[in-house]
Amino acid sequence: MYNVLVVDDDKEIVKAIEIYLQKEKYKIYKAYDGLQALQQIKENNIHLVILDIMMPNKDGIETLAEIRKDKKIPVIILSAKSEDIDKINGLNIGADDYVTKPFNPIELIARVNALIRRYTEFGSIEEKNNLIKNGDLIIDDELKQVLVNGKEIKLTPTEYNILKFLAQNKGKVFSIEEIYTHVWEDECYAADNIIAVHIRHIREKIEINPKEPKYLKVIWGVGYKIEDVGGNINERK
Amino acid sequence: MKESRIIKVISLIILPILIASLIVSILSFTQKQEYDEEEYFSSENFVYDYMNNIQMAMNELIYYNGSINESYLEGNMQIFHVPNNYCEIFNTKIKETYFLIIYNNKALTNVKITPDTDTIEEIKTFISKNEKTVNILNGKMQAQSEILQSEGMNHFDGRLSYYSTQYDGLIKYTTTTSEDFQIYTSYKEEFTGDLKEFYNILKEANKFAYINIPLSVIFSILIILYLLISVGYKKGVKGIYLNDFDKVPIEIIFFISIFIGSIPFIPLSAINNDYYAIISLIITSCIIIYVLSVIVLDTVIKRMKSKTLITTSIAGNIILFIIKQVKAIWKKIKNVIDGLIYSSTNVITRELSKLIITMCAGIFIIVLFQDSFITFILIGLLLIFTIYKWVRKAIDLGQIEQRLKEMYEGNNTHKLEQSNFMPEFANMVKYLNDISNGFENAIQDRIKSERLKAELITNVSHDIKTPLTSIINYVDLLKQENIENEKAREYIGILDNKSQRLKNLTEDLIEASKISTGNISLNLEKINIIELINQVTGEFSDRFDKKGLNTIINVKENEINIMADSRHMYRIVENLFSNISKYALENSRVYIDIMKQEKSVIIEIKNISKDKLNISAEELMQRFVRGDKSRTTEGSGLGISIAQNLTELQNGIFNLKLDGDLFKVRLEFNIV
Repeated sequence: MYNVLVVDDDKEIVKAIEIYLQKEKYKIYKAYDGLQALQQIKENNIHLVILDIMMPNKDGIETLAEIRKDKKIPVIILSAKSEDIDKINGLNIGADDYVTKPFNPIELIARVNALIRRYTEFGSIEEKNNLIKNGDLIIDDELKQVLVNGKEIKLTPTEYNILKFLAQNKGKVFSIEEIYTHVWEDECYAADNIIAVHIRHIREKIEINPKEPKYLKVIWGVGYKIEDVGGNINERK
Repeated sequence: MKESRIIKVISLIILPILIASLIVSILSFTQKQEYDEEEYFSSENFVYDYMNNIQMAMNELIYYNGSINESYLEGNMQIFHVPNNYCEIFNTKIKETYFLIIYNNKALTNVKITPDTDTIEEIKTFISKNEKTVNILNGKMQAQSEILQSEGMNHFDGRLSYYSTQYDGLIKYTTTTSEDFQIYTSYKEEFTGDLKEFYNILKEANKFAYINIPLSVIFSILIILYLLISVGYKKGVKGIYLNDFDKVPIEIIFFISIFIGSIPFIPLSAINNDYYAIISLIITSCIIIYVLSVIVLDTVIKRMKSKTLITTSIAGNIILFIIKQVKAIWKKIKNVIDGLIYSSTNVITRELSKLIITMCAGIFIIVLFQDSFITFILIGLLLIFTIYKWVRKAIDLGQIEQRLKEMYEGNNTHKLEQSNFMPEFANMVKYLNDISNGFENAIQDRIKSERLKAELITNVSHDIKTPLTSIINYVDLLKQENIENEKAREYIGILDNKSQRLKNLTEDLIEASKISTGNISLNLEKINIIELINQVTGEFSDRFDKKGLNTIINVKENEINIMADSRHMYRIVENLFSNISKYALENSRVYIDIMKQEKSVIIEIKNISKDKLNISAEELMQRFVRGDKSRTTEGSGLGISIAQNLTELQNGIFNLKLDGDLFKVRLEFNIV
């Protein structure tokens, strides 16, 4: 049983999140401003915080900075502010994720689950030779198996090959043509969007929010790449 | 204040004493021959004085000028007597001087008639008994004084020729020579009592002169400097203190002072030979002149210090008045000329009148001076002046053009300084600055209002998002409840659908307001437009498939690169594709033609509209306008507006054409 602290000045939103997370067997602690949140964290063993930014008494950014002084617990910012600058700011101060309002409940739950798993598991997956690891995305080439946040993902062979090719060269951008020639080992026709369709399918399967992908990123007009997200959350100092 | 007054009064008293002592000391040096008996009687001055007096007596003897007291005959010799004080030097300077002059059968003497001295011989004897004798007999000098013996005759002859020239018309006199006179004189080598006392003062002064002269010079200068500096200042009064006297015209003061100062000189001519009277009169007048000059100088210096000397004088006022009149007349003339040249708002009239004036000036010069050197100089000057004006005009015009160019390029910060331009351009520069100001203000107002609008939209959107979050979440929770009622489930579905639309709408609204105000960052990089189209068609393949839309991409090249922001480019194409997926006729074809031009690439997206388009392309590109005016379908109505703004933000051209049911979007970007 993990303890999740939900902080938002809108009580209905806190209530809704509580309902969703209770279904996922989390114990919910509630706070309606930054000071209450800090109090709750002090008094209880909180495993994850969902934090609003615009709040009375102490806003989310200040609260987060306070939490980060002595705690490594994962924090998801949940805010109506959707500008890039707000997201960058929140992540820089030490948030682990940023979800904008209005949010998709399923997405929020998925992100909570993913962070909790990362926070609590200590490298339980065995080290194997044929393992391609990128954050919580693990490709086991021996078993032709893909794991995201510990869950197995079903991919078609083509999708698997594309993902593997990109993951093997993580951080590097490949155009449709390059992917085509590498995966099919054949010539590509100019107006061919088969790769693009496959990529979309892969994204929909491995990403929590396909519109804001974490791993498989699209560089529009250039190509695709697997983002190098580094290691596990527990490796963070 | 009192102390400074006392110092001033003391200074004013000491100053004349110093100056007087200085004058006396200087006199004691320069007039030594006059007052020192020893020096005097062996000097040329003595010879001159002595001979001059003999001459005067001779003059009296010949012409009978009216000073003769009495005369009587001794044989055929007529003896004339003059009063003892007849000859100036003889009686006021040299002690006991006597003379007897015999000319033909006339004789003149100043020896008093007594029983012992009533014949020529007795008078001769009386004269010869004196201390020193000087006789001129038969043209020869017999003097007991060395200098008279050696120089006397020269002076005597000089006097005679002087008189003979002066009395040229008198034949009798011109024939006179020194041999015609028998002159017996005598004197004491001593000054008369009155002079002796006066000369003793000079003698005493001579002893101290070496110290007195430098000291009195230094002190006089110091006192004069002090008075010059201190004049006009009064304690408690700032600047130069002027009283009523200082406002009286200076000429009147001069006139009165000269009048008062000259009064003591009036009796001067009446006093004769009375040294005491003369000296006391001189001293009195000196004091009066000194006091007057102190008063006059005081006011003059005060006026000079306060710069009112000219304005308080009659002559100054007259000169100022004349200058003012001349200036006024010149200004009138200038106004007339300027009126001809500048006042005309019509540029042609203005320039023509200038041309005519210049030509008239040229003709005037030629007519007046004809082919002289002055014509050459004046025509040359006129030419130089015209060229100078022309060059300046050219420079000014250049600046105005430069400024217009800046304005055309959108730079409104720089303003032209009206004073830097010729008067002809004053209006032009003023209009230009006004236009520039108005322009700048309009732009600033517009930017401000756009920013406010964008901020308002962003803030309102954020405020909408919070309650919307609850709506979406609770609708979702409702959906998960096990609700038997069919109708309730249907309503929940509608709520779900519309709340999702509201969410999209707010997001689009923020985006659109950001883009339209340019409140967005541009991250330009090289983008392959074909790759982009392929990627986006890949993204939309499912949605197109669902509606039976068939995408046909026509392109000859493999790679056409443009400089653009990849996320914005995706947004443009996404919005257009999203529109197609919503509004295109089902089971129709979507044509995407990519054409490479010489410098640009054209992307043309064509599809058949599902509904009849009863709206113009211009209207469609506006915000919140959708193909169906009823607004029942999904979408915010911002898609096309966003796409257009983003295209233009990246220097592209966005074109929308409606041709019957054919919906055609044409994008054009510069290629790299």
